[in-house]
Amino acid sequence: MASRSRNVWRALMAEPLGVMGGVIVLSFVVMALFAPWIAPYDPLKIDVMHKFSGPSLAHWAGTDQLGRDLLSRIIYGARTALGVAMTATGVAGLAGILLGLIAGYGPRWLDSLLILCFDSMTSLPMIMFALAVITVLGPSTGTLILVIILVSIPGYARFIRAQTLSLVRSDFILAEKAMNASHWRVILLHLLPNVVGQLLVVLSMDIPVVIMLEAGLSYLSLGVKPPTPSWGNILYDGYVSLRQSPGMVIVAGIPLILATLGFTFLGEALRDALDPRLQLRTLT
Amino acid sequence: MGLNWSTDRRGLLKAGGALFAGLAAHPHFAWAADGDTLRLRATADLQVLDPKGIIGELDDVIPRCTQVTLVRLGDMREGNQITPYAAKVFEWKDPKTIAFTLHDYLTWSNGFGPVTAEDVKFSFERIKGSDSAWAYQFEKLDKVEVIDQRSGLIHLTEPFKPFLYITLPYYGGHIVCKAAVEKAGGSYTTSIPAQCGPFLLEKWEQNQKVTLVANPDWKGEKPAFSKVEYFIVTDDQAALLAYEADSFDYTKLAQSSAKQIKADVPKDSKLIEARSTRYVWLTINMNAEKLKDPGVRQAIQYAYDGDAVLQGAYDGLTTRSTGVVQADSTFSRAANKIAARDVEKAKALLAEAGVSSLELNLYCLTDSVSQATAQIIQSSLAEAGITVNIQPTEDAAYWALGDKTQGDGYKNIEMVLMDFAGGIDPIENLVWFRPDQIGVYNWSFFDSKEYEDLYQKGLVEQDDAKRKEIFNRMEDLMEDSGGFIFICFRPFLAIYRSDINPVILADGHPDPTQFTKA
Repeated sequence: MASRSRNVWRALMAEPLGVMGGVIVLSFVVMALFAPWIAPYDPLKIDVMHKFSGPSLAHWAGTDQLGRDLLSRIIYGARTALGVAMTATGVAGLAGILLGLIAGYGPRWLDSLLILCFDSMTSLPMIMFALAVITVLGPSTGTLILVIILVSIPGYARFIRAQTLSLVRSDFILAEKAMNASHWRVILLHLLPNVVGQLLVVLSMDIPVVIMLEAGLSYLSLGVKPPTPSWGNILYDGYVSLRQSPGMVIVAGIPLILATLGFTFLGEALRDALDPRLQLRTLT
Repeated sequence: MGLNWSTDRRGLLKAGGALFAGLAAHPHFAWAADGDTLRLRATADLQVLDPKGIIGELDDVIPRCTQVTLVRLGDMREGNQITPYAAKVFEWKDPKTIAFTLHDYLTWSNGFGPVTAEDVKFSFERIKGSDSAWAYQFEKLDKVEVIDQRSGLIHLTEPFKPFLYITLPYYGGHIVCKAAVEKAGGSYTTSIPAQCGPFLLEKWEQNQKVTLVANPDWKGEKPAFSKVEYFIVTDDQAALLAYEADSFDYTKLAQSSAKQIKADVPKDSKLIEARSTRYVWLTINMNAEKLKDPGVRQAIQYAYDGDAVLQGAYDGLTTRSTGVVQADSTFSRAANKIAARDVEKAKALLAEAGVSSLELNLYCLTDSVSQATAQIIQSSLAEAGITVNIQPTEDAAYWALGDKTQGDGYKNIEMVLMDFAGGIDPIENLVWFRPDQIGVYNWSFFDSKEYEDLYQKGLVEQDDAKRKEIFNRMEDLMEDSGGFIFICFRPFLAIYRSDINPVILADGHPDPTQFTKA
């Protein structure tokens, strides 16, 4: 097990884009965790007399339409983005594992029922579904996370189900069953460790999608409520004030681009590192 | 024989470049301004063209082109002058009677014959006492008496001076064809059964464009343009870019663009900067559990930072309003009773009321100005120890907040940032705060008998000095109740080509029939 982890780590380190992605992601995580110490100002502090000031020594990224420090809002925005993305994908991933394992390992009728539910959920257009839920529950960070969880679960559950179905017919599982191993033992000791790695790759690749979704819904005033800083909110404010302060759109756009690239590079590198076929190809 | 087709990136770019160059060279590619076509921008599509059910901007503008009113308003920047329009004779016989005679040249399209006094009677009396939002405009109408085909008398129940301003030139004042409307089932929406104005509605491309062409049967004052095109562009930034690309001759501007446009007005363009009739205020619901104590409501009034709102949300383009009566008019109140901010006083009032941690919801629309205003209010109230949770709400859900037909929610909403398009006469703005408007548009639960009595007095009072006294007292009552913080009248900003002279009515909508060439 330890040697496999070492191999994965080595493979990750050998991929320059993966390293770059990792550094970017780590930077955002540090930014989010230590925002109160890193941010130069209170991101909510309004100072209308200094609205739309350009970049200066006092405000490196300038100020927004209410005179709030943009850099501080971007730093705190990382908290919102990662908080929403990590929580939503994390919970959705866990629910996906649970439901996927039940569907893949459980009785046929339960599998059919769950597949019917997953397909029904997937058939709803994501944005329309998100808008409907937000309209009913009202926009808030909690609603946003709930929406993302609901739309993500079917995909993850289907993924885990497919992995489980291919594993339950493998020799080592059949051998365990022949030795009267309990269902729990089979699931927890043999199935779970073999499916979770692949799901982690999918989750890491999905985080930028969720960050963009949060930004998109916040841009439409359907996500995080003001005055909480969110990259989407800042982007919207920048768009509205495009003529007065074109820099705001750029300032809000940069972290979105970087986060997308960082998570994508890291996810791709992780996928390659965890895929034994690719590793084998690399070795040969 | 197989077709061997290959496309590489360079080839694709070359082909794209050639296609673009070809299109650009084509004379019809550019949005060339046609000297005889007036191109305007609308912010939303039309909904109901029947004067009885008019809702939005185009619903107001199109009937101005396709129908007529007995009198019409002039530009708001020139004092909203009233002039006879469909009526060649228009006079007050006494304070309760108006005599009118229609122009002989007015005829309906689709073969419905001349525009008659009977049409006027039908148009007004169908709205009076109906469920129309504009029924209040006809509250003092007794009846329309038909004298002959073109003449009639409008009888009022009481002397009512504002009838001239709030009823005749506006929404419900548009004359419809009795025979055509009855044939259409008594009302209509987007298809006008008969038109008689200087323009005819030629084409409606949903959510894109409305085209009006000159009415060949119109024998009145000839409009300066033979065609009016309305382009529907919701987004202000996109509209300004389109204007700069010469897609329109006139567009309203977003407030956020004002500073930059003022500093650098686009070539061959002029800017209109005025105060609109749209009044903005903060509703504080006296019925909400946390706001039942008048001291708490007053604390909010003292904690509110009006200057910060004007600077932050309105770019200093407008000033603090003293009520809902049009600012700087003969009838406006001189000052707010709580004109200056006093955070210490707010804290003391809260302490006196025994309130230590007050947390309130503030609902607002999702536009940038509303959200900026809400955030400044949130910040200023926080200084007095009041926590405000902003609830940005989409249009449909927002208008249901205080609507009693949507459940009991209207009883408990706490604070709402509101703005209404006002009229010329104060009565039009004050009407929404009467007791019978609770659960309709009076979301503060402001229930004052004195206010209602004054309103009724204001309706019939003929003396302007006495009317001012009445209206000022009504606004005093509103402020004293603690249910309102008067914020401002929104600034009106628009840009137009220097070769036209636009006419903007009091509601901020252009009147294409009165536009002229410079």
